[in-house]
Amino acid sequence: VAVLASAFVLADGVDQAAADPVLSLAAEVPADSRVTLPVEGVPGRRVLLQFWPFLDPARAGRARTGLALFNTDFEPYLPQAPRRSGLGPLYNSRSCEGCHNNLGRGRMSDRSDRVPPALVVQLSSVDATGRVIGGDPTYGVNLNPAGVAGVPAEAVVEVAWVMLPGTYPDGERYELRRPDIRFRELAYGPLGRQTVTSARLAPPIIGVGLLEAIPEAVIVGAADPSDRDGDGVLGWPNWVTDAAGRRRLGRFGWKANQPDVLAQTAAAAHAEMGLTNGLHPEPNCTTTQRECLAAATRTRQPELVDADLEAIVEFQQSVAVPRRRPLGTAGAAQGAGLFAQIGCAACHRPELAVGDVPGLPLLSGARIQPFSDLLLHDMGEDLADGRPDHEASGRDWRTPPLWGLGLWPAGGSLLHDGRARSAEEAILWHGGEGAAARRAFVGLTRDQRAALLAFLDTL
Amino acid sequence: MAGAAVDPCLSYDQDVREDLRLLALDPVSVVAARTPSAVPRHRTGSPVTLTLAPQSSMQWLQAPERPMIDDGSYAGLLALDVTAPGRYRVSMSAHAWVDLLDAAGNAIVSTDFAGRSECKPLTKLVEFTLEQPGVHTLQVSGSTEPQVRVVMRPLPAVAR
Repeated sequence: VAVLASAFVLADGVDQAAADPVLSLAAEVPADSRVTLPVEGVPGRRVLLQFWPFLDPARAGRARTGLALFNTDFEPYLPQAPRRSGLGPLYNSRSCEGCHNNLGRGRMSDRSDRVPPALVVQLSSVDATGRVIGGDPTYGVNLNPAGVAGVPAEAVVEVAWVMLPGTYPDGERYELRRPDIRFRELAYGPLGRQTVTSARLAPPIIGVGLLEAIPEAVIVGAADPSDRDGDGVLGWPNWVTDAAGRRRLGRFGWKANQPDVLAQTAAAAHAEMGLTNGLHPEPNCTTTQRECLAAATRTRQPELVDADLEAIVEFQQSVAVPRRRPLGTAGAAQGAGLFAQIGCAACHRPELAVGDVPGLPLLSGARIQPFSDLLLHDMGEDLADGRPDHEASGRDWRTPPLWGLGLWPAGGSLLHDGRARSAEEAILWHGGEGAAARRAFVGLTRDQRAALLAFLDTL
Repeated sequence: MAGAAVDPCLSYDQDVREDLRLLALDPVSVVAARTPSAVPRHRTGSPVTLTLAPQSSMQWLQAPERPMIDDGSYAGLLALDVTAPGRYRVSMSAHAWVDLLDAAGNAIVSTDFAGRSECKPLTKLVEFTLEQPGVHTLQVSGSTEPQVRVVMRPLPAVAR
């Protein structure tokens, strides 16, 4: 456990329960902390895709198999390789890594052009009351911009960036960009009249095994849907229905619409790669897509067998969270205080406790620093997609974890549609319950803003 | 915004005109090595059609940074004579993973990458900054195609 003492996972017995959150944030990273956990592959490169160092050999073997499957480009049909067959008939990407291609998270294009595979347009059909009644009747739950031979791709999805210049009160200028997502060449006719769309970038995979192990009571207990404390920040859980029809706490996805890593993985493999699996045994075609249905008959079923699906899940659950970097400069230490002071920590909770972590007893009971509450928050009209998802409205988003934020290459692709190129831009998009924190950030001095961003870079 | 009949190869953020020109040439054919002991050599700036071997038969110089399952995968090694340090781009016609190893066998971290499935002549590109000249080794893995066109060419020193 000692190796974790200065990482995002805090060993038991480390006194981090200081009453002052500023001190807590500033104190928990020793000055000599470095990302030193073992790395598979090239050191310094795959740091966001490394395994926990204490996996038992059998678990490590399954995780490596899962990593290889995660990376593998699937084909529609390879008679000699059924294990990598089953792509499509309609799909967004040939591999999991094709979307999570930026050290486990998606990367948005900076050009006004076709969107990269990492950006998926999800579809819902809503009734007159705004209740979701399913996917689009013709296109299903998302738009697939690629099809196997003989199956028309559903559409070309393009983004046009609308640049939005702004100025801080102290005169410093900034520029945001808003994506204008457009569809053309809709191969199966227009979208349904009651269809709403939402562009979603592939989220990071680090630490998902730990997020899954946070006891439900910890997440639900932090909810404040009626704003009892009067701080203007609410937060409520998304209760979702899983594939077995059970009511579960949503944890994963931009609107917390999936209860666990297995459900998230199975849904993505099906909707975005066209791989049938134990949770989604039907081809990803709607009844009106005849070419798609005709092409979906050659491969073994399910195309992604349980053992391989579970290996991909175990791989993700085995991906470690890198150590935080030391605060280093006085600015970052000051930024840690500002993070709490201006209200960021109200949603981006610095510390949570996990329960039992299956297969990883050394992590069970650990306190972790995801900088999220996994709850839904109204983020305002500027970020709204207008697409409800279980108990999330079109304005609500799950607080995305911030751990690892400073370790991704520059050029962030943050927020649900990748519009934010940096943490600064992401903050400036905050509205709704995050509006007060945004206003406070804007009102900081230039040096204070830099300090806060320097702190975020240590995560 | 792109028009209705846009060339998918033009959707790369990078300027790929020279890569497309090179890959359209009639390249020499080379059988890639299965082991590090006898790796065929080639030069930069010149395209090659590489015949790969079943991945399960490979002995790597370094394990691929992005491993894929062996089922249906082809792989191989090619040595490339690098005469000058600088920025280089590996462009290829198939989905595959590429690792570039320096003369000492150390993997070089790529500086950029991009892929366009719909651009058949140039499905993927990866860029590297090479600090030293010398013989570098290209490891291709995870290709579902037994043959792949590849070219590694120097890029201008200035940022694009």
